[in-house]
Amino acid sequence: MKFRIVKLNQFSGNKAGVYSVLLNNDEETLLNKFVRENEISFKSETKDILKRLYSIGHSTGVRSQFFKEWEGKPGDGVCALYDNPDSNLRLYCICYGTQLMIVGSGGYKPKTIRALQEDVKLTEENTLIKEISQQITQRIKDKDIRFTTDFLHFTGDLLFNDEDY
Amino acid sequence: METYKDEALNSLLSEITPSEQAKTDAKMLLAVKIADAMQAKGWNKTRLMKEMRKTNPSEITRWLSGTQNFTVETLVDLERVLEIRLLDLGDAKSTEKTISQYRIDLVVPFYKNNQMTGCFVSEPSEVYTYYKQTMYS
Repeated sequence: MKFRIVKLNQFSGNKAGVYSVLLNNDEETLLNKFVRENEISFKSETKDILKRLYSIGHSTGVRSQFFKEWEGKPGDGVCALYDNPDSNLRLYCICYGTQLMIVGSGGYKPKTIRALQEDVKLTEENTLIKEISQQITQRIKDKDIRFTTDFLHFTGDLLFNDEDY
Repeated sequence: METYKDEALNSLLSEITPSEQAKTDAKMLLAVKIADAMQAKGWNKTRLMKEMRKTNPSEITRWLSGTQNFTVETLVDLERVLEIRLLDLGDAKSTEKTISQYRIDLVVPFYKNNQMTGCFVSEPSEVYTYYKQTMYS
């Protein structure tokens, strides 16, 4: 899998750096894909998620209370942004402390299902974000990816290619 | 220079008004303030649930998620149990103005059809009030 981490300047502020992922040679980020897939059927819910991401970047920072944790493997930082009680959208993210996050994709999660494994689309998106997290974690361990001193930016090699491994 | 095109994302973002964003900011900042107060007291969600006399733990999770549209009643209760300020009523209190100048007119019945009138007047430049005049008619 080839992917690149890119900063979303629309959401990043002095409280947190918000990133997303460009997969393979796609021209859109995973967050844009999420918006495109849901803006027709769940417009207000999708808009609400964007507002929340902006608040995180500019007002609150990345607080664990905003996310449903343990959506991935232990310690990999994969979580899902809490949705409104009357909303059915799930957006997967990877959180690094309180000032950096990577936004992936997600989808519709009916209240009738409890586990994401009951939904094919969500399972695919969850598997993808876990894979991305795993590769980023390895780069951080290898010190190929670092954080700036203010912890608001990633620096280093943000381009991933399976052939590298 | 990034070359990606997030057209759907940017289009939807452009529809968000400053007023809409301010409401979301407020909800999320309230959640942060509540979580910080809980941490300062060493409380977990279960403790807050008991203090607030709630029975559903998911309600507390929702309060902390930044998605809750709080009622004033709930915020007042949270202020009391967490001993914090969530509602800034400073402006409302400052409208309780101190009267620095006043005049009280008196009309008192006085002997059959006559009446006595007079007034107390405060002097802005002085600290006292004086009785200005008495008239009989």
